[in-house]
Amino acid sequence: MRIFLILLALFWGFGKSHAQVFEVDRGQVRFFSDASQELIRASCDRLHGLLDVKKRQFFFKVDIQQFMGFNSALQREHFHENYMETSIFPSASFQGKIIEDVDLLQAGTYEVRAKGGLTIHGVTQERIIASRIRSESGLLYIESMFLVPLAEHGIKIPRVVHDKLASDIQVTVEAVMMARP
Amino acid sequence: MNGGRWIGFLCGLLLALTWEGRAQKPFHLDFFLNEYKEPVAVRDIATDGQGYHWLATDQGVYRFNGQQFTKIEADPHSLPRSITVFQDRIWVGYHDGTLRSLKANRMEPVFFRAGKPQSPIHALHNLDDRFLLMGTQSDGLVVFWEGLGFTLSTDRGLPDPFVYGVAASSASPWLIPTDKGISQVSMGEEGLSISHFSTADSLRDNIVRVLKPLGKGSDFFWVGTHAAGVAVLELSARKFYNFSSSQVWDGGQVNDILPMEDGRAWVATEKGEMKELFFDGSQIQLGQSIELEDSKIYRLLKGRSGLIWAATNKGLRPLTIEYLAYYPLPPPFRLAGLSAMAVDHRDRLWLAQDQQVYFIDRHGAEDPIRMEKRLAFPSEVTDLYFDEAGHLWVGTFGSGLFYCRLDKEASPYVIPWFEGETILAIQGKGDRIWVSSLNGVKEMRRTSLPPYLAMVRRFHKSAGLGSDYVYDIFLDGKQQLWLATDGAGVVRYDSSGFRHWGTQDGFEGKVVYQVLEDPWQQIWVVCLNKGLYRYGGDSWQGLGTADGLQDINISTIGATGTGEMVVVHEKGIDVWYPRSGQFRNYARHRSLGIDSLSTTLHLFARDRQGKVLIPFQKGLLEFRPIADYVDISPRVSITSRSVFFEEVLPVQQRFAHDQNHISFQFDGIFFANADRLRYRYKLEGYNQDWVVTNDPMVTFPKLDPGSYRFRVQASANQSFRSQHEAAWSFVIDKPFWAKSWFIVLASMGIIMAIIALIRYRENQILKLSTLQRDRMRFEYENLKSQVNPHFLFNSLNTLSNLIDEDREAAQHYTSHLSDLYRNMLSFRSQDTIPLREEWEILQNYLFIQKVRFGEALNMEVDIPQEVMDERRIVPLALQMLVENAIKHNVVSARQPLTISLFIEGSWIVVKNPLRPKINPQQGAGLGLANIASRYRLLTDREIHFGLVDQAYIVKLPLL
Repeated sequence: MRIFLILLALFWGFGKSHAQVFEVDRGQVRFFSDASQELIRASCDRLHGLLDVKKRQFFFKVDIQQFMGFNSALQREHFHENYMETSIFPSASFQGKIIEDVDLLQAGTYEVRAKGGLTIHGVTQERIIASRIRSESGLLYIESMFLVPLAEHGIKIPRVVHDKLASDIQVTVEAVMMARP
Repeated sequence: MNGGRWIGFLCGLLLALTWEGRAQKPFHLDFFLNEYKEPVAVRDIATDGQGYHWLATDQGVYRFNGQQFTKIEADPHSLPRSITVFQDRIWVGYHDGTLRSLKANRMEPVFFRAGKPQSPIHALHNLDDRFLLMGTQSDGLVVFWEGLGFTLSTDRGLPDPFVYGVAASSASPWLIPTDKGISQVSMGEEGLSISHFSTADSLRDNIVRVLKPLGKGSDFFWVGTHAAGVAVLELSARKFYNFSSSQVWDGGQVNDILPMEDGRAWVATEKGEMKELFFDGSQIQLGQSIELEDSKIYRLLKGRSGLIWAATNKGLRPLTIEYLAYYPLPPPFRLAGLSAMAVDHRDRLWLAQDQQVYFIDRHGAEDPIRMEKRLAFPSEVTDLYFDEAGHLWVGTFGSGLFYCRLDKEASPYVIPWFEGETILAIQGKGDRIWVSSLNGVKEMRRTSLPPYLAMVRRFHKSAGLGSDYVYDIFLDGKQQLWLATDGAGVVRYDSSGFRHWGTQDGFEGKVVYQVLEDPWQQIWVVCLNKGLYRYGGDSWQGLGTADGLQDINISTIGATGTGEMVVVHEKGIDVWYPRSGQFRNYARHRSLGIDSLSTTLHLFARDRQGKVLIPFQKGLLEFRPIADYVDISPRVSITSRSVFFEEVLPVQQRFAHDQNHISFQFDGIFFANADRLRYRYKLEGYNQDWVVTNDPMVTFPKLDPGSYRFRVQASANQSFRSQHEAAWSFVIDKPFWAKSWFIVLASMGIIMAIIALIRYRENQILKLSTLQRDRMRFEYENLKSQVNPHFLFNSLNTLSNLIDEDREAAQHYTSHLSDLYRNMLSFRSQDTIPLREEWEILQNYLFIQKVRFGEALNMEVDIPQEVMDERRIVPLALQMLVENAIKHNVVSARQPLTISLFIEGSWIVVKNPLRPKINPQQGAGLGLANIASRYRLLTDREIHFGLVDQAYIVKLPLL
């Protein structure tokens, strides 16, 4: 009978919460592939993102089309057409929450774990990504570095380029976030 | 239908000796789910009541019977994430929040009237078979009950909506692991209350991925975290226990914890490691560690056969670690030529090879283990024995018996009693030691001073032993001495003397190599070329190849602490599981990568934990005591029943007579030795003999009507000892024409029809004969009346008068008279005649009478022409009635008689005014009765006659 009371209790009521949201003011996403034959670097400034400091929830999105760098124009073309299939999957995103119970409105530096769905190439993987957040004079400075195993996101690497493209791509994200009015 | 096929587990179990870690290793193997050996991530695994393993994989749901993976068809667009058994069915949680359950071999979506989760279902938990609890990614904990989903999430006080699972029972509070610690949900008087455990409560990491009770109903829980390894939570004390300070968790993210009995647990990690943990009540200790290279382990399952099944990102990987492990021994050490083994009181293993004695410390820091040389003897060592004081006794080939005190660096002492002898076996108990040499057995008493042994008694051939060669000596729990002799079989010695057994006792062997006792005080005996014998206290029972033994040329048997018999022979190793009543087989070359097993007799050792150690080429095999839940017997299930190849449901058990082509598919569920699986079946009602087969399918065409029971059994041995059975009963109905009710009804019907036919025929004949008779009588009457002398006289008289008066009229009269008689003659034999013909007769008759009576007789006729032609009448009926009228009434000039003849409906009426004569004529009424009876034979309609308004009326039916 206890269980039915629990079930009944679960059926009622909703909570409320207030939002305080920060938005990416400027940011950069860089990646580099460290294969035995070739080193590839590229970066993109088109980083969008929101962070609710009360709920500690976030959403970041990067425009894949805008990645610049690479060693040649042909390489960039291959990146977009063969691997990322940018025309079908124009953006990559990371959406989730911050695990650690931190108050980002308090000035200081916090090592947190961001957990959520990382979507690249249309494939979402549940990830826990360690990040450093520095809160200073009303701004949030975010830094994070993580690996993206290409295989987990359905990106197939032909054997011929095996030694030119790493199977795990290292990604670095830096962003400055401002409170939204 | 089959996703993949695997032949055998252990027969294909090759050693993968590549991982590092602790000294002992399990045997293991990757099971790929498809034929191409492509990796398929197995996210969750469950076992159903029949024993099947069910896998939730990235390629759908699979059923596994130990040998074969069968894919269950489902919606390919969503990925299964979790699987469990609930209300005797398989339930699967999907990535898109769908819940499906298995119905008729399909995964059917479960309908939610409300509260359907919208995010991935990571975990399913069956709560007492009444509630299905779902851990979801962003909907919190969803409780499924009777088509409704009740959600416990952040709005109800859960700190985070990502729920990894639940540790719940109906008796205690529920524990919910989330990304923000552990939430404890309980129901008090004031309603639902939730409390939390987090880093503030000395939990080392808030991301709690796994939470499992130490045992059923335990207050202690294993807690597996993302970054801080494993802790133990004591719920009532709200206290966490961690690793001892000397040990550091280096395993990374914990994916699953498998609690074992005795406070142990196996932990599976994202890095592909399995770590054994012990909890002693105050801290956690790390045990052995197994690394599955290049794998992530998602879930662990305790298999019924003793295997631990690891669900990995590549497939399924069973590990033998709970019942069998091995210690690899690196070169230059080889265990091929071992001659004796013993375990000392510190659990170190001592080995004799040629003239040397080595020891191995399995519990030491050495990895891999090393053989350390300790002692050397002048000739080959034949046996080792540790007495209860911890001193070693060494038997040699031709150099006698040595006594070695290992605590002192003294050299071995030669026992004078056995100088120069060849020692076959040494055994002891308390202060007694029995030593077998080529001259029988000597029972000695240990003494503290040289020569360390004093003679108690001798057993030899002439003293009643029957042989001087004793290969093995064993003292059982009842202090009876068992001797394995060459020539006299097995001999028991106790206070009552020697006891021998022979053929009359069911014991065939003359040469016995080894004697052993199991925990149930049964004596096991190895016989040369005869296999095993078991003595239960009153009779011997043989165990041979029919019972699943691969070879009867046995060199060694060893009993584990829980009574499993490890049997070593040239073809490999068989282990008898007493609770299952059968052998688990390991074939040499094929199974273990064992190149050679020693043929030395009784070469094994049992350590302090009851593990049996057997040497093989590459190292040491360790057979461990078996936990309670292990059962290695195969099971069988009937997977489909078909009628003319159309599958039917198990509940349909009655078939029509022409639905008599029935096939069965059955499936063995066997995780121990799938390659040895055999079936036998019989269809009771069809034949009474078992049919043994390897084919999991059978068809019975053209079954006769009747009751049947299909029974199928699976076994790993020919004798089908302790087999498991599946059965299904069905009935084929008789056709309706063969059913008793139909036969009774049909025969009754036929009899009744025959009776009716006979009656009808009889009636017809009766009718016919009556008609015949009546007609004859009528004709007779008629003729009689026509040849009535009066009529004739009157007619002739009239004629004679006419001849004189009017010759022409006379001629006319004569022709009418002759017409009358001709007609009467020609129609008399007919039943009916047309009315017109009767009218002609009547006219002839009337003419004759008219000539006689003149104006005194009148006839009024009103009959339509069509009635004249269409209707029929009994012949001479009208003539008869008119004649009657003339006969019975006064016809005179003064009183003329007018007879009316007219139609009234379908009746013809003859009417005349009633003026009866004074002397009535005889025979009146006879003609009328005759007409009436003739009509009765022809129609149901009766004739009517009688007086109406002074007129006599006769109504005849028109036919």
